Amino acid sequence: METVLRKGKQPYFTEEHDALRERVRQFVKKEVSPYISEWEELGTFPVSMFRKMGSLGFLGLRYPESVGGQGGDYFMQMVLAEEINKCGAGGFPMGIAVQTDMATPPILQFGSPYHHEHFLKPAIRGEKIAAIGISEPNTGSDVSSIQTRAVKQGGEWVLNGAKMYITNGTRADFVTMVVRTSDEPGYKGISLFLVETDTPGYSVSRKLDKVGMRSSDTAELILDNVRVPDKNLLGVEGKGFYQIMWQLQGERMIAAASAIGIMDFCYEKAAEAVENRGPAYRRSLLDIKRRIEVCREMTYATAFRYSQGEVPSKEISMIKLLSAQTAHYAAGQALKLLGEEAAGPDHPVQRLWRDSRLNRIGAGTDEVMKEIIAKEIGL
Amino acid sequence: MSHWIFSEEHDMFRSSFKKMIRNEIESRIENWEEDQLIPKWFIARLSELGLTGMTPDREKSMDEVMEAVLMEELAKTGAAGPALVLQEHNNAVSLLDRTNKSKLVPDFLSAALEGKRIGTTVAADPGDMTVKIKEGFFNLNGRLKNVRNGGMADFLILSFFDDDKSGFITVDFASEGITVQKTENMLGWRSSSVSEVEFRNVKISTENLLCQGDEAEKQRRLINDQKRITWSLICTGIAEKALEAAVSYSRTRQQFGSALSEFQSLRHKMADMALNLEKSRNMTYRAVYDSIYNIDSFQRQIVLEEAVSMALHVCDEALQIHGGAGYMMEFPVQRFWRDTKMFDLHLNNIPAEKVVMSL
Ligand SMILES: Cc1cc2nc3c(=O)[nH]c(=O)nc-3n(C[C@H](O)[C@H](O)[C@H](O)COP(=O)(O)OP(=O)(O)OC[C@H]3O[C@@H](n4cnc5c(N)ncnc54)[C@H](O)[C@@H]3O)c2cc1C
Repeated sequence: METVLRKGKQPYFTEEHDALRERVRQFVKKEVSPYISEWEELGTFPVSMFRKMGSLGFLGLRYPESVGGQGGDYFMQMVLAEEINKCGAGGFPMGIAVQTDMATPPILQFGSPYHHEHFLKPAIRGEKIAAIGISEPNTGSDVSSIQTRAVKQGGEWVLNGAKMYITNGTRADFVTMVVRTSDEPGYKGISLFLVETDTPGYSVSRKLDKVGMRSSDTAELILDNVRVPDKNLLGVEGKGFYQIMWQLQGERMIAAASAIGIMDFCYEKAAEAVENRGPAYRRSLLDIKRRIEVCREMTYATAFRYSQGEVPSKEISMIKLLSAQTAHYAAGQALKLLGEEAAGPDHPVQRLWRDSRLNRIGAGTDEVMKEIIAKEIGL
Repeated sequence: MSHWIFSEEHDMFRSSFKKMIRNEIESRIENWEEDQLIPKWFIARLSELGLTGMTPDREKSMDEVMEAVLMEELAKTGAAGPALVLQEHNNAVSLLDRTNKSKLVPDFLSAALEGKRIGTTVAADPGDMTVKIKEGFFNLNGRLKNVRNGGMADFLILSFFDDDKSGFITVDFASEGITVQKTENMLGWRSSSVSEVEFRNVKISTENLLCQGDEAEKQRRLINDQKRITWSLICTGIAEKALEAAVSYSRTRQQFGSALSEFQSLRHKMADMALNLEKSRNMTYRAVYDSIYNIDSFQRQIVLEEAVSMALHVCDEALQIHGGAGYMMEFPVQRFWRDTKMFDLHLNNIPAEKVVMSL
């Protein structure tokens, strides 16, 4: 494999990456951080943020120009994820990551020209909000047991069921949805659909009240005889399980990149406050920093393979697990170092301690990651 | 037989107190957390039943072990708030009692013992607040942050350091120049109604001085030692609640065709949680027993560190076992988790006595 690593002091990032990083930083500083506490209170962020980021090209950094993207490499995406996660909350960046890295990659990968035109391009422009619908009230970790059922009637599929914990769910324009299309048990009868939320029978049954990630809205969805045209079937009928397993690898990669932004932010907040308080404090900072650096190196090395088109699921599961635990640990230790003062409602570190807890649950729990790793090492 | 520090009488007390909590408190805890305030009748009711620790008739006051049962059971309401509120009130009462200034008995000590007035204790941060003596008055200016019971207390016992002086004074919240502002949506301990108190040229009679100098130092140590035990007990109570929640959720939630409780990795996780809880519980009970005979700040600090670290672990794992549900406000496990983290944030705040410093 031809190496594209930059020789010299920084192997993963080029000057273009650095320039993007600076642009995203400026954007976060002006357009996100000043409002984030307000959005946390509100339980969501303004729809206009999708438009804004779309017009800046931030929603399609690694998508080809043919679908309206910027044609960048995977490290462009990493830069965006890291930097928006330094806005002082995890919720807003999660809503964006669902748009860029969870709900839309399967459209590029498996979609028809119609899907690209009607869903992917508007999503990249920030004109349509996307969500990813895998989990259900009775099914989280065991994706192959989903119960939402689609039955073919003429040129349409009729969907019935419920989806749970859906990010962006209260205002999505479409949901990339995992649905059962035959009576075959387990992973065999599963397919993907692009479900438009203005279809009759589709409804948001409730907005969920969460302990963290509060600037991101999370919904429970009900599908009551929702008629979806056959052309909205994404990819191959019956292959949905493989397609979603492929999708989850990207979701986990970006979860790791996001976690790095969170840990860097928390570390910096703690360091600013306690660096000068003596050796015991510096020792604690060193302990956090060491873990962050290990996590960063492993994530970048895996991201490099991913950027070359490889999907190393063992390593991806490892960095997903490690980054989730490290981000939450770093936030927790930073919070402890900052002490009582940081327990106040708008302190970003206590917020990120709550927010980063989700990383150990969403996109596959710690335990699910360990199961995958165990299988991958031959158990 | 329960742990050896408990007599039959203690066990009987525990079971009757449990009933009282179930009937009168447990169903209200969600509302108190939401309101970020515990109503005054909570202390009044406990006082009426002789359940605050000290009683007007000292003969009937509880022993240390009984008080421990009280705090642990209160924590099993699933929030630190009620126990913390009672602890702050009790600290104020016992300080008044130990320093015994007859001028302050009717308005403060007696009223507080009867649960008619509620107290709290706070240490002033010299950076935020000045306490100056002028012609028979203390002149107070500045603010106190993170005052527990702030939203409900009638008076405050203020520990201050200023102008080379240090001491404790009793401050009536009704005094002119005091404003109390609740701090909403803290990370945890929400029902303990944490507040910010502002003092603008507040005049407090020097008769309200409880003690100063070495005596004040001694009282500070007693309060911190009491805090160490009480907080260890609260952590024990909340962790027990969290473990129960995890066990019961894992029995009902099905995934991969069986209850979560059937997965060996989760069974081991819960066994580790139970072991950790038991380790800390044994240390805590032993510290309660020892507290009858002596004060050993160092030992108590160790016990507290163990209890906090145990509770962090148990509550974190309990949340994990709930999966996505653990992240939802409607499941109480998120509160156990937030409330225990608050103890962790406060660990550095308990002034480290020489004995700890010498490590
Ligand atoms: C804020 C938030 C946003 C989310 N956003 C989305 C979204 O946009 N789209 C979407 O589809 N989903 C979303 N999710 C759902 C998320 O992916 C699931 O919560 C997660 O996969 C866990 O599933 P569960 O909640 O059903 O937990 P469960 O699967 O019920 O798991 C409960 C516990 O059991 C453990 N467990 C399960 N199986 C095993 C096993 N075999 N061995 C050992 N332990 C096991 C788990 O690790 C966990 O600790 C979101 C969740 C949250 C909280």
